[in-house]
Amino acid sequence: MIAYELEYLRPEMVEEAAAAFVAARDAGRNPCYLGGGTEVVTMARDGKVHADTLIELARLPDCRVLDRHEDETRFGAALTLNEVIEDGDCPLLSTVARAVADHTVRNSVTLGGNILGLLPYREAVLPFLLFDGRVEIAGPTGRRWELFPPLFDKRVRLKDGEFAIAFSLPRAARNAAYFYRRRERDSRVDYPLVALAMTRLQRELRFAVSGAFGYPLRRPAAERALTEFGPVRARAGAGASADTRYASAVSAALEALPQRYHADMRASAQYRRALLAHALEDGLRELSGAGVQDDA
Amino acid sequence: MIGSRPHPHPSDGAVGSIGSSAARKDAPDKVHGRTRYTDDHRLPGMLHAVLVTSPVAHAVITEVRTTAARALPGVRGVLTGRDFPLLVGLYLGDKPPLARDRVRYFGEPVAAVVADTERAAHAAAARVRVGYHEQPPVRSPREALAPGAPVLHPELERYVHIPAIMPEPGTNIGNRTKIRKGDPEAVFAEAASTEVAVVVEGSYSFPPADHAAMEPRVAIAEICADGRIVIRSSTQSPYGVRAIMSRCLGIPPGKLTVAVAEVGGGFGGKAGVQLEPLAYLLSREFGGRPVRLANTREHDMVSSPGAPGLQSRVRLAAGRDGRLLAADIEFLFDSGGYADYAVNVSRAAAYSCTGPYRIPHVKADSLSVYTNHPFATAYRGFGHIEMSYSIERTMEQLAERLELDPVALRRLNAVQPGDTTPSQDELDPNTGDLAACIDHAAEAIGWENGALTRLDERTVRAKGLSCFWKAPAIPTFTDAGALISFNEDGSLNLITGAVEIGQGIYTGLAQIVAERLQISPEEVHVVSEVMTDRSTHDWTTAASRTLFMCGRAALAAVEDAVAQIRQVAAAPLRCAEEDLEVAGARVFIADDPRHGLALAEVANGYVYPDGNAIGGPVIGRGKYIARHLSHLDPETGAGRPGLEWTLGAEAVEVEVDLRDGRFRVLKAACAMDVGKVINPALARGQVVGAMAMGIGYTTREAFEFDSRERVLNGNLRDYKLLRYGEHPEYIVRFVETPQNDGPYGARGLGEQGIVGMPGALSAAFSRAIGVQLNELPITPERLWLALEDAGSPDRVPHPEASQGAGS
Repeated sequence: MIAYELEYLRPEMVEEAAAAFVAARDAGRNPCYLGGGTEVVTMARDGKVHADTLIELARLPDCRVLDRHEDETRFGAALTLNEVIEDGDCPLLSTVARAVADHTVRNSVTLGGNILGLLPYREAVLPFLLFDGRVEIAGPTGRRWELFPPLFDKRVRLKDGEFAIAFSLPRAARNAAYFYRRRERDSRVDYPLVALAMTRLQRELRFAVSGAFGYPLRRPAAERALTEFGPVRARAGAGASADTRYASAVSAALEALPQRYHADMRASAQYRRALLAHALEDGLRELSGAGVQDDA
Repeated sequence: MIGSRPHPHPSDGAVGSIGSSAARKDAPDKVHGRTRYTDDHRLPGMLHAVLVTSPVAHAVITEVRTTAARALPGVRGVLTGRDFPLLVGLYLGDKPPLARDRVRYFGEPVAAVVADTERAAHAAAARVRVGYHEQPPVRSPREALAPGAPVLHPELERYVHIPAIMPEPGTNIGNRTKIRKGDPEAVFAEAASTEVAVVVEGSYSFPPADHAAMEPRVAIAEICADGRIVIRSSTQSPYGVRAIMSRCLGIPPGKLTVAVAEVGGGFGGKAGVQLEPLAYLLSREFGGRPVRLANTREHDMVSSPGAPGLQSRVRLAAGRDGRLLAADIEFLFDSGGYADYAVNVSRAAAYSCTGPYRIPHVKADSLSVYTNHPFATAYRGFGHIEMSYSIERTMEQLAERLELDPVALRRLNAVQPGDTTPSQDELDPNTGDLAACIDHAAEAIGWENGALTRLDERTVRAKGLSCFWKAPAIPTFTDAGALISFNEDGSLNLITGAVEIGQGIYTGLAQIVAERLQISPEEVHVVSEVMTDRSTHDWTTAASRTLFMCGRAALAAVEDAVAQIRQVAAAPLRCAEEDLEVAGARVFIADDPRHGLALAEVANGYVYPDGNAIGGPVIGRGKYIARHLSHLDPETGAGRPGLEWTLGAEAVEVEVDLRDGRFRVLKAACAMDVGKVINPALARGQVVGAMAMGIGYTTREAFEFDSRERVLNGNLRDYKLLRYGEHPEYIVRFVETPQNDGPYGARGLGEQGIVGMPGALSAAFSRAIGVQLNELPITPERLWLALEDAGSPDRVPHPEASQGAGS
């Protein structure tokens, strides 16, 4: 139960929503955009969210798009994770989304809510980081598209009153080889200790991580380390030393990543680091394996 | 055997009762969402209470400011500990309804807001300001017993308690139970000096946990204008609540009615006295208006009591052949801030302290110790789960030391009739067949195919087996009553004091009555709420004794009704009463069943053709009281504490990834001697439910604390239970050695399935990684850490294909 008085607004257009936020703020209230509500409801009940004006985004037509263009696919921020999964246009996005919470909860959790909410995991952002996706932002000053990696530093850096309308993934995301590994403390329906999304675009390995550091992260230097040392570059006939090469590639990548791992009641920093190392090794192995065109 | 079939069997009677999986009587309403639980009651004029709870584990309360909370619209008042200067307790009166001057655990209620709506009460609760002067917390039983530890209950000497509980004032010991059997010191001394015996010793521990019943606790209290008090509560113990409130609050018991609808899971957590006294005190503050005090999930987990934590130490002496010679045992139960049921849980662990093994010389001290953790109450298994875990861990070490097959070691030492328990009570001929259970469990898990199998370089499968026993920890005078009345169609109504907590008691009792009368269980209508002023007295729906005792009372009520029916029917049937039998909804001449009457014609009075009537409503009365139970001797623990021992064995198979410690429980088998299976589907449901709970208890269900002993995971976002899809394959086998004083030979089986699980799982995981694991919960990270500590994975035993059972 949310014990305090709430104002609930249901705008019909993006611009109305942004204006409502400004108006509420000007009236001295504490507005908050609302996606599927799973986070706001549980946290308000718990006294961790104190928003007194909720502005519903879930029914805004622009936030509900699912458009496949030749060069990109656009996902409305108010699509539920299950809608994204069922669309299946980007297999990695579907895989990542399917690991979040359980089916019933995914009927409510929105793509925008997962990426822009308060919880630090934001796993659905991983494909957008990997494939240089874009986000369309609405706010008091209008709309604009921004490229993901620069805009994203631990979280999407939105200004006060801004919200996401839609996300876009380039065509490459549709059929790129990928690897996804998610590890939890015990129950699968839990936050990730480590979530690793990895892909290979030609000879380039890319990866993005959630859980391990307490925020999602993609770091090109670590990707270069993995690509440089990894068996992707290994010549044919290097099979006997493949294990060693995997191990040194993983070590090099880990060195290029932050050294401060997240620790909480779910797991220690050392365990998260070990799980990430395992995941990197397995991803490397899988994406270097059969079925992937190599230049050897 | 109690409740044998009437003879001869009428051919048209008996539609499968005992031994058939009759449909649950409570199921249709439950699956349609129409069961009325306590919190489904909305009374006119009802006020809502919400608790303000402590955010710290140990502190002196410096002030409570309520002005801002009182100022909110709809708020009727804010009460604090100073408003209720009294103590309430189950065995030991140590707990104020709201903390007074001092808080002893994170989540302890310090104030209650009463308002017109639940929302107003929540909003006001957030505005109550409490000042705390934090004190160093007592973090474990060992810390609590260390010299110089803060004494959490300096007034312990003045607390009222029952004689069976022995608190030690000036310390943090709420109760100590001693077991002194034989001369263990001599055996250990001899073992140390000779080659013919070995001694193993281990220390074990786990933190407190929660029951996580689906229904959070709730109590609704009102005081009528004439002074009668009605408490609706989600309790397993309506008569216990009445008795304790009467004792602690000075209420004449006849003025107090406790009403219990169906309960959404208890697991012991609703067995004592919970929210009821505070709900009553709040109602009293507001002119007797109904006050609803309902736990949020978070309050239910942390503010209300959970399962005790444990620190234990076990030393076993055995001959080279594996025969157990002596045991030296210490159980330190973490009762948290208050004693509640924990002081009896520790007592139960004492009288069962060896597990189901024949050990002639035993010394045990079982203590219930105050700490600054959430307080503990009964939890499924009641001391036996903690005891079993400690003993079974040590048995594994003994098997390893002696290089004996762990299953053979257990079989060698399994108790039999004629052996004596730690309390020097001889096991009578009703004792079950533990050896048969061990064989079944071993066979079901495939023990002979190897206890450790390597699948690939990273993956192993391992098995573990443990034994268990459990006897109900009940007062010596534990009782049950039953009443039977009849409807116009000859069907009957059964009233008892048993609470339906999801265990299927209505169905089991109906089957017992139906069997005796050779009618369908459909014809036995079990009255589905307990109200202390019109139901029959019953100790508590707990301790796995309800089917046994209420079953006995119900059978006695049937016999009483049958005698009355015979008496009435003898006249119109023109025969001696003793010639008559009642079965199949008829009363008839036993040796010539053609002569008889339908029960419908007799049970509410027989009417002759001319209109004359005789008899009147038949009311069958039945009762039962525990037989031959006695107190434990304070110095030796000698006595007969338990009505009957349920024996069994459990075995599991786990698969572990040696790289990161991830695991799955693949299979879990339980073989239990239940005397007689009344309802196979319900019995299996109880055992599987208990095993599942045991897996959760062993692998994840435990409170996590920060450095100030605040609970970190007191909510279901962070406290994980097993989900569908995470369960192993369950195999349940029943052995039926009759409990001849039980109804149709049945004995208790509700809790027992949990008792052996921590031991079996710990054995399997330890075998998988080659390291003895002596703490719970066993998480993947804990396995990974143990593997890391043991060095590289190369140090783990790598059996080539599979290791034999003897290795």
